[in-house]
Amino acid sequence: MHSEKVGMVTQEEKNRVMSLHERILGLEELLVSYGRQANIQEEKDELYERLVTDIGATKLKLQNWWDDMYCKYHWKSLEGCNWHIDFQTNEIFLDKNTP
Amino acid sequence: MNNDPTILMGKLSPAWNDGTAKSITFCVTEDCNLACKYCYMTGKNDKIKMSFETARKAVDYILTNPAEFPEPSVVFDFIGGEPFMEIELIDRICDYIKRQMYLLEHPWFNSYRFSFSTNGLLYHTDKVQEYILKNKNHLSIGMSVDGNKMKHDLQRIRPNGGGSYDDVVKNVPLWLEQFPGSSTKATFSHDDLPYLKDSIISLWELGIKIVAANVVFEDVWEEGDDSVFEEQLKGLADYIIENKLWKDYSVRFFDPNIGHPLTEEDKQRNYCGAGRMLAIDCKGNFFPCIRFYDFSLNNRKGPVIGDIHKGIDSDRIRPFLGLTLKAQSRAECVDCEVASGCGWCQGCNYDLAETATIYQRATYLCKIHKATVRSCEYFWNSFERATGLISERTIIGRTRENRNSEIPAKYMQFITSDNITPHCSYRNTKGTGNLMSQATYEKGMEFCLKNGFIPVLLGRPPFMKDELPDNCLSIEDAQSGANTSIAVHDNTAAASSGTSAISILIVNRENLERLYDFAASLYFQYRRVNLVLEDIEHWSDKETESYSRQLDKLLPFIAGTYKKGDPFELSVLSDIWELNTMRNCEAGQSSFALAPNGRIYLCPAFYFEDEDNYAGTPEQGIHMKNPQLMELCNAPICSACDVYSCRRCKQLNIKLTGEINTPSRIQCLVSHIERNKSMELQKLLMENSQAKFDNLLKAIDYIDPLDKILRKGSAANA
Repeated sequence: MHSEKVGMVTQEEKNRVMSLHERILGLEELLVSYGRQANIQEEKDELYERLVTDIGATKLKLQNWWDDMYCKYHWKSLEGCNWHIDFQTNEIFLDKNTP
Repeated sequence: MNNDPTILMGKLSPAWNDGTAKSITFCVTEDCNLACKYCYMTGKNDKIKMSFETARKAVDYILTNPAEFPEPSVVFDFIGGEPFMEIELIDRICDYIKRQMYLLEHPWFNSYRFSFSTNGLLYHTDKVQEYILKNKNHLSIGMSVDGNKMKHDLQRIRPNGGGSYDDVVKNVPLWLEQFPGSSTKATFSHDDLPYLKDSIISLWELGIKIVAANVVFEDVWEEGDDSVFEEQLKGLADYIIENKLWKDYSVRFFDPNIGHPLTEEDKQRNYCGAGRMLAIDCKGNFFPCIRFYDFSLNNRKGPVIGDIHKGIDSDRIRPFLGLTLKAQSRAECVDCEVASGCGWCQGCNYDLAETATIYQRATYLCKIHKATVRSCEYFWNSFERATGLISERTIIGRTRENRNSEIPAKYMQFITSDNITPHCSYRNTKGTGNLMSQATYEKGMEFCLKNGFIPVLLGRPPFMKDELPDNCLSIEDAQSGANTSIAVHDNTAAASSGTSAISILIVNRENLERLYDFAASLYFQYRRVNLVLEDIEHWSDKETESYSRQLDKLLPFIAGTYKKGDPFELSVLSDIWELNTMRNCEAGQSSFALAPNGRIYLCPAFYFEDEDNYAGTPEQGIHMKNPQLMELCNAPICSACDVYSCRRCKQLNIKLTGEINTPSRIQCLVSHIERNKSMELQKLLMENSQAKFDNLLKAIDYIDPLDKILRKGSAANA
């Protein structure tokens, strides 16, 4: 796979997507803590449900962010390929599968 | 010449979130499975451990007092002793932190890390690996490897006296696989100086490409240590040059920022973050950093700044927040010619001070620092000879020199092509298409370096394939797709894909009625827009009235942005608020332009107006006639004016009045329209908020300062 730079986003836009990305990772890791028998026992079922719902909602917000940015910047796109963002440089790359 | 931004040597791994996160450290045990000879934690023991209950109370206090912890991100740091000896407790604490951040909807849930400094001996164990897997996206783990086996085992020994190198090194591949690009801190003291060169090379060979090496701050140094240290570092420098390792490897001793005189800014900063961090000991006491724990100090009791029951005592923090380099250093350190990069440890200072103060800096490593500076200089000089490149150290030195001499920065604008998008009051109307050659560019860059100019690329030369050279700015068309310092919107507000926070908006007569629309659109991309009005020499009443109306329309819009806490700066309205003297057009003083023909002009406007009206060349330097006319004090009309933000375009002056120091009436009218609208905006902001201004504008009864001068003259003649 190789990546082609297709655009950039502003610092504020990067901060927004980074926050959503971090939230999903945090939710997923908290879910692991709940799923194990170890440290978290209280409110287990109720909070487990809440976490699962939150993960779904945050992933939807993340998808909306990409949709909004595409509408704004019209980045190059290819069927079956994804974009990714470099959080250091704010650059957007199109990931291409190499034969 | 060229500066390659990909050179790694001297650089360290960037801090997470640019170092803006709050650092909160839990000391979970005072026990360690090593007994390193140089360790400052001299009171380690196997008795004192943190209980989960203590940790829970600390977490509750921190998360329920957000006003005391306003940082947007957090790093929870776990240390010992050796923290991984208490991995089960840490796992429980981390789960509790995550759960509480989530339940309390704390903003840190979206921005946190768990960080560890470990000796690596337990890294491979099932419990540690299970913890890493569970928290893998939020971890930062530093492993201490000191160098080669000889050096490591000399210092990092087990309680029975045996070395630990073999057991640590076998965990390094797993660590680097899980945390690629990690660095290690190698610490050097008196005993191990002879192994320095081989130690750094050995770490690189282990795959640890960035070594944040340092020396101990304590009073351990002996006569002649600096010579041994310098010899080792210079040997390392030769090795790097011979093997061309500067691109992919780094050691902190060759940081290009080391060894320059301090700037005024440096003197007012503190090198250490003590007081801005929070360190919690096993008993639940709070300290300014881990070096202030009781068991880290030899001569004094640790200064407690609060605890898990009573919280932080803000009075005890104040001395730390007030610390500056100048306030804690002797004059010889403040004025030292090679002071930058010379560090200290606040806790060590406190432990060794003559009285119980943090305001007395220990300077035992003075000679060692000076040896570091000589070696660093040696390395970068060798690098320049070997590569023909100008080193970052040379550039940093010259930039700091300029700052220290209080001479304003000088800029050389590179007109890379006749077809650049204009960024000020000029435009190529002659249809020429000259491009700057690589030879002219290189001569210009060399001139900049020798004469202390900061290069500013207008457009991008076609031969430049890579990123911009370091210390170089660029101004480019917003639609170019390039990552530029300042993006230019030439009579358009079309969205840009760049990341600059500042833009220039060019508006000509035809588009004057669209000014509001342009500016309002750009607000969503930029915090600041510098407005440049084109062809004002052709303006009549129609245009001045139109401009006035457009600014009227912008006033409530801009006031609204201030009200919602995301202010929009439009140069012609907001710059004057911060100015108390005239901001001169810097053309011909601190700003010049190099054209594609290899000549230097006062600014691009002079080049595009008359190619023969140049001020010099990179080869012959700049030789101006009547340079005093560039200065504000020799511009009588402008000296009498208080529109300090006026552009005072010198090229327009000479074009319309024949004198470079005399503005045209239209220039003054436009500036006074802006002044009056700016005053109205000030009033609006003061009505709606507590806004304060350095320059509070008052009503005046003229729109051309010449009228004021003439009135005074009439009065004098009467």
